[in-house]
Amino acid sequence: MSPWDIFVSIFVNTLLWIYNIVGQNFGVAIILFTILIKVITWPLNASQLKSAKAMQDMQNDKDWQAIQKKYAKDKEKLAQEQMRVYKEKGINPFSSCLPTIIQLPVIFALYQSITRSLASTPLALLQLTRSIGSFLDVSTLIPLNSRFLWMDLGLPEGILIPGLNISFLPNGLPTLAIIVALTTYVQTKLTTPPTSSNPKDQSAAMSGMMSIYMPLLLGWFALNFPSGLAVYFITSNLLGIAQYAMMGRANWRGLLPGGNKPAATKK
Amino acid sequence: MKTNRLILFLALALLVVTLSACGGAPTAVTWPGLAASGDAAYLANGSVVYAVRLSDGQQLWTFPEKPDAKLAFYTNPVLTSDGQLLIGSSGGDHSLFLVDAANGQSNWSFSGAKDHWVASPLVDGNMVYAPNADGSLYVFDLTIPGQDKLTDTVQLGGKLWSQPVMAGGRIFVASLDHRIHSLDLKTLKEMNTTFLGGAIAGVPALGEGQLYLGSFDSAMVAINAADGSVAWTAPVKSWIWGGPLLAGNTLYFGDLDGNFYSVNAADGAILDTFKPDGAILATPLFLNGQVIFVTENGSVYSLTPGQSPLSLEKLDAKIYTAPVSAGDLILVAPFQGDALLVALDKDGKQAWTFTPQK
Repeated sequence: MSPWDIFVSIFVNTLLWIYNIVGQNFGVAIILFTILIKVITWPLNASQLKSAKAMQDMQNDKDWQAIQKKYAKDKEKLAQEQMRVYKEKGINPFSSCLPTIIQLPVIFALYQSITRSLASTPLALLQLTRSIGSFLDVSTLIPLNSRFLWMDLGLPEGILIPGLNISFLPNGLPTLAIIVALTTYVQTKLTTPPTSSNPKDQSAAMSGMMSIYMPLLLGWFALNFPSGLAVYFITSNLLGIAQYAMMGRANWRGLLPGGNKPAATKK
Repeated sequence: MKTNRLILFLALALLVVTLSACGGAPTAVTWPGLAASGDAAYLANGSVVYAVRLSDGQQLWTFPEKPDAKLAFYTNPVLTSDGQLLIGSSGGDHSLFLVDAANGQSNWSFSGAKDHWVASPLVDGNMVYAPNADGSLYVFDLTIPGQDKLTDTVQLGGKLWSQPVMAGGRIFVASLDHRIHSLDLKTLKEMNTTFLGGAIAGVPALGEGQLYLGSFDSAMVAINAADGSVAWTAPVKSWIWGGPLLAGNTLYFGDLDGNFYSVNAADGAILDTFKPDGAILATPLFLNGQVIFVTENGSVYSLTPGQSPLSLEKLDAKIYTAPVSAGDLILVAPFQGDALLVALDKDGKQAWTFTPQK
């Protein structure tokens, strides 16, 4: 068994353990599992928020803007100065992207654990039975109940509306994909600090682009992948929004058109 | 700035393309399906079904002619009385096809099922009873001209992975949801349902007024066909995946722990057990007075009732597909091996192997 398989097996066993204790409801199991992951990664997310805020503040710092101007033609020196300022302000530039990097394998593992748990082929079922720990009574668990609300969590979601027949939407109206895109947009906007007054601030421009691309990307995933993954995205987004709000860092003005006005310059 | 945007866009696009390979309805990967009739064997393996000449193992045709990534075949193909092949897909396109066994041309297809085809359909004259993983039994009348041959859809629930069997004016359909449904053949009304302790993936064997089937509850069960009552239960050491073979008055089957059993069909008494070299998922084959069975570790065994089994062949592959007889040949479909199909003579010598033409 490869390290990746072991990693996914841990997910599968945890999911099935939760599934078993919540009365064999796979949708509720995914939601609780997502909460568990959020709790585990909470310190990382908090650290990411702090770093992102500190870096944003630095972009508005007049001293840093002066340094950028001074070494505009000497990239090497500018980089050295940047590292010095990071050190002075106690900023770890990697801590802002670490949670995102950690999230990716979690998303991939969750996708695989959902498809493995729902085992749509004989070989998948055989592999599932062999990856489940002895603390679970597999014979009574299998097959998993993949129904949750109106969805089959093993298949892409859609609500068939009589009269609405769109060729590129064979599953019907993709309500979950729309909710995923919306909650991702809201989360991205809430976590994007007010636009820097520095026109050379590349991170602000990147944040702006991410607020467009990420909802489209995750919405596309939700449209094409098993709906269990969309349940994960929505739960994760809502928990993310709640976390930002609880830490007092949610930028509610960012949701409004033109709400991301330049922040006051720090002296 | 433009470069950064371009890099970000390309990175996201690359991620989408990479993940799209496993997106949508995941393409099925599992062990192949196998059938034989007349002078050809039919192997359902991934995106195509191969017709292989039995005399020399040469490829006759493939369906479809060129592999289609949306299709995935692994159910055992079934032949109709007029020489057509019924085969369901488990890919993104989960259609049921009727293919001319002589040339591999598709004559008809049905795309109304909501999920994969894992079970082989049951053919009774011109009627076809096809269980789908969406929990429905689809009934077709092949004499109806045109595309719409569907006459009934019976909602049974659970995932139907097992080929139905027919006896005494009834049709029996097993489900992964631990149930076996008994339907009246004429009205398709459910007459009774028997609940077993585990999922049923194998095809039941039919005896005198009884059917025999194993489940993931680690037991072989005999059910009275008339009323669905359980006649006897024979507990075994592990899950039973495949259906049993009934030869004379003895049932032969294996379990996932790799035990092979001989059980008295009259009362469920275990007559003999044998531990070969691996898990046994496939239904054994009865040929020339011998019971042929295969193991996950690639072994083919021959058992003469009352004697110890003999190892006929050991392939460098896994074997999950039930062996099939064709004349005096034993056909074996290895999984993840060099050859897709191996023909053995009665002594276990390889007559030929089949690997697809490139």
